[in-house]
Amino acid sequence: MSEEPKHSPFLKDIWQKNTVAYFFMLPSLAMLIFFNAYPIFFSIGLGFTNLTLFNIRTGYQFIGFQNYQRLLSVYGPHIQSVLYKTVLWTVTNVGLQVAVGLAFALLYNSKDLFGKKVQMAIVILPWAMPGFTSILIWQGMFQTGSGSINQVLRMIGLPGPNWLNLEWPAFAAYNITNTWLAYPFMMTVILGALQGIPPELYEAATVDGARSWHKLRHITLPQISRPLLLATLLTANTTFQNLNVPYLLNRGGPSTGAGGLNETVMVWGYTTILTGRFYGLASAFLGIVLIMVLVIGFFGLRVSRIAEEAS
Amino acid sequence: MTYWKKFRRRIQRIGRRRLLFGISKNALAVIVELAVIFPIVWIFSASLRSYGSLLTTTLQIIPPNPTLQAYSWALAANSPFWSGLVNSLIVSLSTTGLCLLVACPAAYAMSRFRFLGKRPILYVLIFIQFVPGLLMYIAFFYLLLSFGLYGSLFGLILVYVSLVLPFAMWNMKAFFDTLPRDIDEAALIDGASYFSAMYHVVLPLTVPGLAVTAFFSFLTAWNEYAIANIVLASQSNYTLPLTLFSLAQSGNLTTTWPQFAAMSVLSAIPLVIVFMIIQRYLRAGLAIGAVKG
Amino acid sequence: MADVLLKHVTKLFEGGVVAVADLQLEVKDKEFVVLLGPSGCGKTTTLRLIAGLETPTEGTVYIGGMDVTRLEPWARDVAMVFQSYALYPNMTVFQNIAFPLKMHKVPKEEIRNRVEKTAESLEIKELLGRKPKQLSGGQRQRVALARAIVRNPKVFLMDEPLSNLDAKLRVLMRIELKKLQKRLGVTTVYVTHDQLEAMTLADRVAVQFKGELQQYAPPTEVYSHPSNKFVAGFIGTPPMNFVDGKLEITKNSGIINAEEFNIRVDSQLLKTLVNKGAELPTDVTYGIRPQDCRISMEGEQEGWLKGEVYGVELLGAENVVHVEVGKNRIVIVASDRRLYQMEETVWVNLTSSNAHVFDRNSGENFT
Repeated sequence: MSEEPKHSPFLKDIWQKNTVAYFFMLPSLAMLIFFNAYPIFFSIGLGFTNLTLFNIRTGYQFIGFQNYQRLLSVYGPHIQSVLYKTVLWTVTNVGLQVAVGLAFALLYNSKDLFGKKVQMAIVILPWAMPGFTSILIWQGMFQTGSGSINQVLRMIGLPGPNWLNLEWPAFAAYNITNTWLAYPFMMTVILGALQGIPPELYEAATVDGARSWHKLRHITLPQISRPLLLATLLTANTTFQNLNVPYLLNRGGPSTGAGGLNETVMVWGYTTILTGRFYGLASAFLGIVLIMVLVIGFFGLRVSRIAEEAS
Repeated sequence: MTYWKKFRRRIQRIGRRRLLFGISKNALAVIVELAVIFPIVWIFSASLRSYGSLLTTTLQIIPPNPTLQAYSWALAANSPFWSGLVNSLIVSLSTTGLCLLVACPAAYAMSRFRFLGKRPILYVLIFIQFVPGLLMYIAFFYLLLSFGLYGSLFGLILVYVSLVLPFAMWNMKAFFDTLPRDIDEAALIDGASYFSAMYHVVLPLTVPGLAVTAFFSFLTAWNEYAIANIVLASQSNYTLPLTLFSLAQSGNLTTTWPQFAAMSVLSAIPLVIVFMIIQRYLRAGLAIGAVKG
Repeated sequence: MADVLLKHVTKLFEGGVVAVADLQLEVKDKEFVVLLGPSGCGKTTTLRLIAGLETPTEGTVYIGGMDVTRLEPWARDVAMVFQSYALYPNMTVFQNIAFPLKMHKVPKEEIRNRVEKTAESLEIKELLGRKPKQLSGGQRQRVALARAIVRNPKVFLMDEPLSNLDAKLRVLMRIELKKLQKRLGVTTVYVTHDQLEAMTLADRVAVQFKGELQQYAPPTEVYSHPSNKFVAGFIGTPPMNFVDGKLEITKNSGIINAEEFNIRVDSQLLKTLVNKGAELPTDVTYGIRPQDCRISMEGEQEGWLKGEVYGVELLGAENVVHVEVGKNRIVIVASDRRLYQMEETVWVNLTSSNAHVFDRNSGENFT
């Protein structure tokens, strides 16, 4: 009835199987190596060359740390502003996403809503919209004259700022836009976590005399802290790497001689690649960013591991 | 019992205070939803304008003389919308399909097996996602150029897969982890090979996970603009983001605004449809994935 | 011939955990053997070693005379019923039962026949179209059984299959299982921590503790001739009473000197002890089952010890009386219907020919 067994002299344990495991992992590992690892190292290597669009075929040279020197000297001051703006952008926007996501999740978790399904479908809509479309729509909305935001503001008597051509209004515009785009993710994650909290906890708290505020602080927040933290980490990463929002809204802010005032790291890199075509330089820059991100990520992991062991 | 009576009973049971609370919550929710929907409503209204109608400085939700001009232009046979749509569909679906095909066996292996090098690989997967994407794309540009794939959709698909693969592998692994090994072992004893065990027994149970992963892959590919801009060259190959963007850039925006608006609305429809279908699984999938970390 | 043999099998886990230590176990063809012991004693590991889900660190496993130590599970022709049943949730009952046949490339027609026949024999034919989550615990268990039976394997392996059922169902299923096994005549290895289950099901019981085999014998023997203190204390409800003391043997009599009192050793018991020939230890533990102790209200008789009642369990047909004698607590099953009261003074007699004397240190049974 059954097929004859194969004798496997290396059989150690049913789940301790190097060969089988690697067989399963082969296609993905191949892709990762070829399309991820190799390009990363290649690009890092490029950071030491003077590659541009123009000498791609003719020959570019290894120039050692010159790129890095130029980054520090020539682009130095602008780079500082870029880094600063990037950090500010990430922190602010992630904070907004969490706040809005949390607020919405709490609101939409309550049982007092009519037609919940329809309401939820509406509130999740930003996620269903293709990002580039939405951003271009927002760009239209932020126009000083014909943009709807200023139109509404004027209707209630407030002056409508020149959103996209001034530094801080543009920054605010970035935040508004991205929060609109990204909050459904946070909201969904938090909502899912909220629905996993056993109601008995709340009942016990009510019996113990707790008010809503206490329940929020001592039951809700701790219970959702793990998925919330994870989601925050993920979204911090995507927000940091977000190119579409700052770029499509106004190319990184009102431009000065050195570059846009609101340029984030990604925008600066992209502009250098796309318009400047200084591939070598951009690679060097991104290489530095990579190191920074890895260091932060490494410490972040350490901290979360310690936090988890402590709890 | 009439609807009104039911309603009265319900109010009595809830109590006045809670009712007030409930009403204010609903009011708040409605306000929120209006604010959220506003951009969509606005672009829809813009798409109904006639060409060359001056954009005014006052808010006009319903445009004067609404017309479907813009839509007929966008849906015309030779409109760039169609090519953009087809290209985007090809790219996004292929990316999703290829990604899942490759990621699932790998995720299964990472979840079930112990093998040499498992730990480093897991760490690498996490860290790859933190690498600023642009760093790789300079190299990609170069690579694609050397392989003659520059400007091709296939090249773009490969790049996109590399973009979503780490996340997909990690996510699916988390899903496989939530399933106890009992059934794998039962299947093995019943005579299944490891692959059969994965395919027949475990994989069908990960449908929420597959939905989430597929959705994210599709979404990433569909929305992606920057890399497509670098990789694709000819108009006929443009994916939707590029088509839209080139339209926004090309003409005088005040006159071509309705066309742009119409194309935007149209470009949103496929994604919304996909989303509505997948919505059910998303909630479950994200909850499981997030809670298990 | 489907006998199972484990020779010098040792299994170590990471961190130096010894799950199974130098195990010698043979299961005869068509025999129903129960692996019994507390959690962590190695019984489940032993089962998994037979199944092929674990590989021994040392030693060999034979099934039907063939060395299967290095064989993968699917080649060993064994079937396993897991504690959680491990039914495939996304398949119907029919597909669940058919799965092993499908994996062995049995033709479709034959699959249908065999599945239906098996389902019928277990009275679950009406459930064939349903999915596991629609079934009750007892039904799921029978589906798991059907899946194991349908293949006609050489060996059945069962890992506490009844522990998830409610008490009444458990008793019913015990009898059903035994009948089934007898009818099918398949060698069975069954794991449980419930000694009552082991006693009712097994042809032979293998008592394990901390990875070591303590005794391997038919239930009656394990009950009346436990090989050591552990087995004696593990088998039997209520558990055996133990009194530590010094064994003092004179020409014709022996006593257990437990400091505050002496227990007279029954003459037959004494003969067995003396005939052992081996050196008898002085520090011993005297073991006597609650059913073999006697209790009386008449005081001051020869050989009876005075004690005070500190707990009573009135079970209707018999009463379990907990008596404090000196520093020891003795549990007695009294078959007189007298209602003993707390703190009453009673008299107990611990002398019986069914008692055992164990070496206090090694636990070995000298009787």
